[in-house]
Amino acid sequence: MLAYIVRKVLFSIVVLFVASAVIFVLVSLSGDPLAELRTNPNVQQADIERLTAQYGLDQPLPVQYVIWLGDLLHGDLGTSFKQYASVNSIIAPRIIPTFLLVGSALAVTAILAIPFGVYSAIKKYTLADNVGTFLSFLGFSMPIFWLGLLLQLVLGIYLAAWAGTRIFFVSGMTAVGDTGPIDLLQHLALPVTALAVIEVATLSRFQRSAMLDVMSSDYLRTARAKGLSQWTVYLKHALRNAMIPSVTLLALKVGLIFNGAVITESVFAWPGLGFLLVDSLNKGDYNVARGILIISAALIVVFNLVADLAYSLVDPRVSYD
Amino acid sequence: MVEQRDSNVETTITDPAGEDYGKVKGRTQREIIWRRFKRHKLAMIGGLILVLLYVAALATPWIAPYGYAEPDFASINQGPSLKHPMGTDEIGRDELTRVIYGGRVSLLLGLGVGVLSTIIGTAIGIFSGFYGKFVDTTAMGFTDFMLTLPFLPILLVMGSIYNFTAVTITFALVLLLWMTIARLVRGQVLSLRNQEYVLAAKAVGVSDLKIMLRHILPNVVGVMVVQATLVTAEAILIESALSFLGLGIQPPTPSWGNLLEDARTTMTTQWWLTWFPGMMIVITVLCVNFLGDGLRDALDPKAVE
Repeated sequence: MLAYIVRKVLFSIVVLFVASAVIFVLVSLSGDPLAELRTNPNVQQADIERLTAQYGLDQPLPVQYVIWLGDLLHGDLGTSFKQYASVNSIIAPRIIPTFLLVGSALAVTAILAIPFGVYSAIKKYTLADNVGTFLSFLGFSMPIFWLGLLLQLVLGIYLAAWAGTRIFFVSGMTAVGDTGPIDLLQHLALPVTALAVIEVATLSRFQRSAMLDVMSSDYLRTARAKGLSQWTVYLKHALRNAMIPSVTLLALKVGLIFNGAVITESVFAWPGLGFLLVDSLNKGDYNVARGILIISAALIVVFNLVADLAYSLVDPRVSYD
Repeated sequence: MVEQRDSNVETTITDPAGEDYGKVKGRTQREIIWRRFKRHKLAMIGGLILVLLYVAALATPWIAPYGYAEPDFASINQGPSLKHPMGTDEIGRDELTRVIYGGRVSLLLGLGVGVLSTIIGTAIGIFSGFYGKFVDTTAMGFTDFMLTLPFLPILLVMGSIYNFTAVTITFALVLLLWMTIARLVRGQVLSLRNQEYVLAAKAVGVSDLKIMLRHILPNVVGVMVVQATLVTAEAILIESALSFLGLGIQPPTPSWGNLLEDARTTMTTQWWLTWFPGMMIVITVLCVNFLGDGLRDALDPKAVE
């Protein structure tokens, strides 16, 4: 067991190092970050030389990488190419909004998807199950940005026009001046719905098949044979085992949902990391983009590791060799 | 599909009581799969719609009623009508034409990504599972590594550096979507490589490559086909998202994603520009997913007749 954990952790560390190199090189392909200044006649040659040295651009690429990695290991993501600010100070205020959005979406997903999946497994091939199947196919065939646009249009604009007052806000995280919890919920509702609809569609299908697997096992037949009620059998005996795979999937997905949030955040102008990424790419601020990329990679690696370890702790059938 | 040599032989069936049931004709593997597939109504409908969509994508220049970059300033911002079934945009271009041209990009790109990533994923999966040991550890380590890359942010960065075209975006997506197929195929091959018929082929000296092509590949076709549909659906969704964010296919070439990006500013007044391209994405991806579901049922060897 300990050896298994150590191996998983070591693999994750190696993956992170390789990923950091890939990300560094990929972003470096964007070319000379000072190109714009070089063609500007108002900028002195001496200033360009000073900036080149300051950003370490006079060094060969491998040296630049080692310097960047060294800073990264000290928690320093470098300096923005476009603003007079450190990447850390640009990224920091964006972390909480992203966590808030993704966390709420995950909570809503878990609360809805697990009961949906269990219910359609119990009611297999009935009308309710078939409708559920169709809806979940619709859900994961839906481009999240279009779902977002429709939510903005229908629940944001049309509903506001009909009700005569704003109920859900279509962009941003808080209104100017007003930062109460109700206001936050009004902003949070639509982006969370967009993310959750698509995740519920996938997870409820997964939960359904996990439940069906467990329902055909021998120990459930025994539980029924000894006279327990149907619901006791389902909820106390079956659900416990049927939840292991979907909880693991959920943990595995945390990292991916962070990445998927890029699109949702852009649609709803949610001031998180994803919106910042698209924004800095449009501005050509590649040092900020590099910082967000490495954070994304780290999140995926960490949550994969957590899911792996949690799964091996919960399910005694997993072997550790 | 696996060749079944004896399945067309007519057999006379006699039950223990000695009653004669007459001649019974066996079904070939292909017939069995087709029968199972036909039973999945949604997959049949999905498949049919997809065939129509792909025909439209290939025949676009002949069936599109107008040119995709053909402004008509006499009819700007018109709602759906007989002359323009999906309305017109802010410079009077026919939205139906633009949706058809946009579909051409999305559909062909989806198919390309689906086919290419299946070929690459299957090749890596078969080699990795068949040779095991060092080959397997290296190949799967690499696959796991690729799986942990934040692929959407990476695509955005690539899009911002290179200005994607339909072709380059296809290759970028293939690069980031082959891994699941490789993992699944490898899993199957691990159990296949110790089957008696594989060992027998090895024993009589059949070359490794021939064993992989003749004895292993036909048995992983089911996984490949189903995964190919999933990857196709995913590729269409990701391309539309990238183009929507302005980092995918660049205007004036229309794609469903960049049509929606254009529609964003006029969403409240010109509703048709938001609804039609989006509906086309949903219909296409839904059909691909239904087709995949039908194929999964039809190709499952454990399914009961």
